[in-house]
Amino acid sequence: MAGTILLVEDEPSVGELVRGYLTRDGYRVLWARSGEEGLAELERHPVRIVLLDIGLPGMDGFEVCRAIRGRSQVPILMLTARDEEPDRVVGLEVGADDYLTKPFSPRELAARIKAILRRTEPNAGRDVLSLGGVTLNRETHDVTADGRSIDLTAKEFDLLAYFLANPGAVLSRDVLLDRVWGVEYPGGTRTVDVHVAQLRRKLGRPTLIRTLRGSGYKAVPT
Amino acid sequence: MIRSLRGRLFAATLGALAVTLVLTIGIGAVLTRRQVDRSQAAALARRADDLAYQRRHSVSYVNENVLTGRTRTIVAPRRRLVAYVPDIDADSDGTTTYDGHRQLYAYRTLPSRGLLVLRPAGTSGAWHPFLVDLLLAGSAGVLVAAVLSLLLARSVARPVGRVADATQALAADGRAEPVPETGPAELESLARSFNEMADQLAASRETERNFLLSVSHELKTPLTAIRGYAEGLAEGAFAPDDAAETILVESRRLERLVQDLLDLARMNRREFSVRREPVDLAEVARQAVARHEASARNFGVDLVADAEETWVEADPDRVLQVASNLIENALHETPRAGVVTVRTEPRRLVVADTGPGLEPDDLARAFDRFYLYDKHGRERPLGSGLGLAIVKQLGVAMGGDVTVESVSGAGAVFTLELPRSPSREPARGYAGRRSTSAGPARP
Repeated sequence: MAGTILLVEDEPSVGELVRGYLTRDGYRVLWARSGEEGLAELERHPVRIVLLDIGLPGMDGFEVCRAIRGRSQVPILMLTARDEEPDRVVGLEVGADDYLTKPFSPRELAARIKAILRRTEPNAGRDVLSLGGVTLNRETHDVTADGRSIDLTAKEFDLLAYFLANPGAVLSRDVLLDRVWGVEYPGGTRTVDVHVAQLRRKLGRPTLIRTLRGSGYKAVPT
Repeated sequence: MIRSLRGRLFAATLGALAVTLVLTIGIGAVLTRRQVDRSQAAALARRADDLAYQRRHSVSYVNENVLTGRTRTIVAPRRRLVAYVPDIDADSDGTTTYDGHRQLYAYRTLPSRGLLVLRPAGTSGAWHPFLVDLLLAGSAGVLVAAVLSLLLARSVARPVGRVADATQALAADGRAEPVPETGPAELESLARSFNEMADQLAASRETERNFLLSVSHELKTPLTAIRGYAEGLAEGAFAPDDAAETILVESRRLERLVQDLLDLARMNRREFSVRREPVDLAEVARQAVARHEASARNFGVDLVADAEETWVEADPDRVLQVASNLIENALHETPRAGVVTVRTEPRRLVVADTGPGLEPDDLARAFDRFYLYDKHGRERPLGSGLGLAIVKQLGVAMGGDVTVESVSGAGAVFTLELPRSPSREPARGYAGRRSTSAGPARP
């Protein structure tokens, strides 16, 4: 998996743990120590999922959750030491997608993140994706265009997979960089343009991935 | 047996009324009767005077015994009347017995004879109409009073009932709607006291709940790290050194928290006692400073002892614990190159730091469990969040107090004040061990 996870957690030991474990799983983890900082980070980066502690100093997790929901539909997973029923209900009511109580197993955390992403990004978990005559199999790494087998590099493959998983969605260069490359790539957004050009050429379908001036790209069936 | 307050009040009022009524009618009847008797006696006397006058001036003195209506007139030789009047040679009025009946009489002397006019006493029935009137008025009074007492009983019983219901609700699920503070002064005060008690109870429950939440949070945070690193270690996700370091640090944190919780719980028990013996605060200050010199060096903070002998009555181990806790706090609060001063004043041990100090709002709650910790603990990691609460309780348990003064941005000054030692003689030989070597620890 790849993509940016925003972790809002004030406890250094728990923060280190989650960041360490999820970084190893292939995510980029932004770690904010307070709700205010978390909201600011969310503005600056294309975040795939937010892990939100409830017991934060200042703005608490519920307030942060509400504030995020006021501006974004990014999935939110609440982390908390409280395991009382009302807290859980409040958490879900203010817009959290899931709830994990401390102490938790990091493996369970990773599994839940995957499950939430599968739910919120329906195509993210599918093995075989196809659009406009182009078919991609994540299991076997086979790509065909109208039955013709296509050879792609690993990054081109990931990029195509992301396009096919999100047909019709406007995907900015920043989001693509984050989801496909998963790091602040030194080459910047130019990298995306280069790879898209490569894909178009190799697939022989220049219209499958359409350029939207000023906002990014969009995959559409031809 | 009537059990409701309302019923009893009503019954008691009604009972009292009935007694009053009976007494009033009884006394009224007696008084009326006496009045009637008196007027009848007067009428009898007037009649006797009339008859005597007529006899003296005209008619012969024949013996006669005339019965007119209920009045009997007897004219007879005086000595025949000796049984009925006290003195047969003088006029008199009064009561006498004639024919076995009590009679009102008027006696007048005639020459050689006596004139006696008699009338049965008290049987005239003349006072009966008064009795009926009395009864009627009394009954009307009782009726009005019954209605009033019913209203009164209700006005007393209802507020009491409301408080009783609220108390039951409070006992059952720990909260109660405020009771309206109305009615007579005593009941209003009862309702107000109840409301205050319910508020205090709710506040103390809230405090306990928050405390439990904090404890739960403080226990679960290190547990999360320990469990996470242990699992990650098993999966090979973390380098053993890093994981072991974190697990160790977090275990120590847990240990400290559990220790502090136990300390607090112990102090809350009734039988918690501290020893009382003469303690030199200067000696305590030097010991506490010596204990934290190494740690002060690590923090890069100047730890200075400026202590002069001052004897108090306290538990030496507990005083050391308090001083130690305060110094530890001060070291954590003070930025690098700052100074922590431990000094004594008469009966006082003072720990002052050059840290950021406390906001005015925080001063009142500085000793609350987890208060400062929840507010600042994450930025300046220290202790368990229970240290200052323990310090305060220990100070109070030894008959003294711990207070804090601070100007925000200009450091905090914590002061432990203890009772004077009645005998200045040391019990454990502190005086002989006065140390001169515990100077400032240089970073």
